[in-house]
Amino acid sequence: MVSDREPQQAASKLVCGKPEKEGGGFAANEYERQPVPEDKTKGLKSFVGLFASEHVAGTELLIGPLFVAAGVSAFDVLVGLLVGDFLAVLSWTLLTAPIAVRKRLTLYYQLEKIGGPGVIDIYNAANGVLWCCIAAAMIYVSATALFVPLQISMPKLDDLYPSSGAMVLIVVAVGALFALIAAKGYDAVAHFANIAAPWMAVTFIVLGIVALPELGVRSPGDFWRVADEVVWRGKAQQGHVQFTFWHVMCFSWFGNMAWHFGMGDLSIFRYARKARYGLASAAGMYLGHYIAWITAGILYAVQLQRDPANTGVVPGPMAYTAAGMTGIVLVFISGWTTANPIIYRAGLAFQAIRPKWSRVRVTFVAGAVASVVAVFPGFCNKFLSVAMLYGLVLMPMGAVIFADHYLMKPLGMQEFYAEKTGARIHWPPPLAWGLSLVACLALNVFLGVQEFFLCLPGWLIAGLVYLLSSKLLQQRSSLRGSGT
Amino acid sequence: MRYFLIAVSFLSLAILCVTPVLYATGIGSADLSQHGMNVGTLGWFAATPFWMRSSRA
Repeated sequence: MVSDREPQQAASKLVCGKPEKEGGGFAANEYERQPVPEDKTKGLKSFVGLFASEHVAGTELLIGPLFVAAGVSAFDVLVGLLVGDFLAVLSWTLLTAPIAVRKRLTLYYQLEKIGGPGVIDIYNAANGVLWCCIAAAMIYVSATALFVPLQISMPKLDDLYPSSGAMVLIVVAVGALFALIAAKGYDAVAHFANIAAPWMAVTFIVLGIVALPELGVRSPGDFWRVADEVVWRGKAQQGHVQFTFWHVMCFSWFGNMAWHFGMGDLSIFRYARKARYGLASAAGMYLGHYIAWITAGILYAVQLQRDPANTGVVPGPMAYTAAGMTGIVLVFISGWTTANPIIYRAGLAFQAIRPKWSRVRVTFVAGAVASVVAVFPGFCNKFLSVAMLYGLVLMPMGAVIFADHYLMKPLGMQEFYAEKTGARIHWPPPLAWGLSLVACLALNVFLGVQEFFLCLPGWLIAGLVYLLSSKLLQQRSSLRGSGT
Repeated sequence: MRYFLIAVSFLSLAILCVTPVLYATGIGSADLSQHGMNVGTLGWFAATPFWMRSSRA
């Protein structure tokens, strides 16, 4: 039984984007089906390093400019991100880490105990598709680095389709290369990502600094005036939703919802000695989702100042304008090092559903699908919505784990019900998943609630549906049990 | 040798940081800033792989 399930747990071998090797750091391929022993837990420093390196990714170069395109004001972005990132850190610290430290199990194993192996198959399929979409954005970001030396025409902000045949060729070639490397030479790139991580973090900060003089910042006192009047002017580009403080706050809070509210990071925090190590997520949030997003927004403002008609969010040329070759290298590497584990993860997720499929082939196919999606700039120009949908689709399972951990016993029900009954599918978790997503869709279609504000109600609905359906189902089975 | 390579890596990061800051404060030029960033990047990737072990992946 254990060996049958091992491939299905394969995706849990990857922790926050990078797979782990035995004996190193958070060796997530160990203790897949048992709690992490106390003597294998890690100190705070390990978590700070992991979060700081994982949340400075290629997609930050899309998100920062898209905030500008969505017409945020300087106050909205500078304060909204500060508050939203703080709420995200609290979510990791108060929701994810305590369950992880108490149970010390991966999300996959907990879900299997709650909902049965069938639920893991559905989860892996959803994860695989969503990872292909996120990898597509990474491939697009890296490919734009080649647009400058190859003089490819840039897509505009409202373009849905590629701007030229050459663009299609470059994006597909980059995607195929990444897919091939992810399938065949994953470890080398993962090692390279570790080497590049400190340089990437520093270069992101430096890019913001070097772009400021061009916008007219000559002293620290000039910053606020330029931020308010030149960078974040508070007027959305055509075709983009007008963002407010609340949009920015909710996006930075729920941008990583799959990992905190969705409990994806149970896999890493099961190694934490104390639940308060969830605070280490602040390193990733404030470096990647504050400084890097602000830097990317400033770079986009430089581009618009040089040519107001050039509204395309194309990270390669944008970084080249500010930092020359270093900017191009940053864009390429930040996209590549994050696309690599995501394509690999997508492959593992699909392979987990059908363990007989070749891992190399499945990974390559996942990369090929991501490359095809990456060809359409319209997809990356809507990346804010794509990122929210990623969290939205996966978060209901986090609500199920939360409710199972805290509320089942006080409400007189049994936790880990599928494990106790040996069911292949225990229906309350998939029911909670499906109904919460339908409710979110209804809120969006009939009441006009934007995707940025759906995560929290969706999570609460999922938890509620899980509890109510568990109550009905567990009561019925106990009645049936007492009757026989 | 290991300490020398570590020194080269961190010196490279320092150059990468300082030259843009000099430009932003009006002391250096845009050209110097770009050269500094390129040199810092080259130095980092030339030296770091030889001393940094893969810690997590």
